[in-house]
Amino acid sequence: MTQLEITRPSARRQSNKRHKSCPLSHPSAPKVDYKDVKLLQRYTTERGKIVPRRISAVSAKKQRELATAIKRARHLALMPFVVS
Amino acid sequence: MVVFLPLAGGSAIGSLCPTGHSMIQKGDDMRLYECVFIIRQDLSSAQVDSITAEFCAIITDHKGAVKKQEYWGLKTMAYKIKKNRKGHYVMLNFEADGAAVAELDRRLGLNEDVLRALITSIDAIDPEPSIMMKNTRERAGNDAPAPDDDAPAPATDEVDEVDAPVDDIDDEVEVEAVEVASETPETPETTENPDSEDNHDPA
Repeated sequence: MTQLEITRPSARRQSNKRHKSCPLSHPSAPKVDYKDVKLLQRYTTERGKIVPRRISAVSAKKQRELATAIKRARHLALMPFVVS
Repeated sequence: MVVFLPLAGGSAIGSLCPTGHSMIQKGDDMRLYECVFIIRQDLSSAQVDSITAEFCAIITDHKGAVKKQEYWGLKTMAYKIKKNRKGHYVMLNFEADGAAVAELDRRLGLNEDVLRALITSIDAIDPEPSIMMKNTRERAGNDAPAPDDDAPAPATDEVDEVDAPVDDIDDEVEVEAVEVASETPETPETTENPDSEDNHDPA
């Protein structure tokens, strides 16, 4: 029991730090599409890496969509694999 | 499929799978696809048109139908493909069956003028021109965005220094999150509740 009481507040702390909602899950949010390079570039680093969703606050579902879209855009040379 | 279920009655389990498969093959063999391919930069737009027509013919020969065709123009690619810096981008939206797609994919691979190709299945065809066409229109109007595209490329030599910290930032964010988490235990619960409410409001 005592262990439970210790762990619970820590869980709260993480949640109350900042509650960012997914920027791609709103009804008015743009559709994730491999052709929309401008949108995809917002979710890649300057190096061309896909930004982890703990930083971008994207929902898991949309992150999966983003990842496939970015990979398709890379295949068509719309986005770089690496910016060296 | 749903119609067949009540008809099948008691022997539903045995007859479910075969009927389901036959329904899929009869009804849904035509699907919507989107194909984008890149053609070598040194070909003229007339040659691009003829190549595009060739691939459209493959689809129509297999009883498919090309619903939408877009030419995105000669675009600078993000990286070199077969020593080409630029390429003609063409997009086709079409309805076809699997055999047509397989043949199209094969021919795209064989054609040496095609640098890259991507065929994806889509749920619906957007009647409006795609984002790429909007971008090309803006470029035609402004003539300014062209240097924007070139700007990142020459800057890459200098960016190397900037990039190293960028990768570090990811780690820093992690560290911050951990630190904040370890700091907050000292704050009493009374402050936690208002915080969570404040955070909910903007969201």
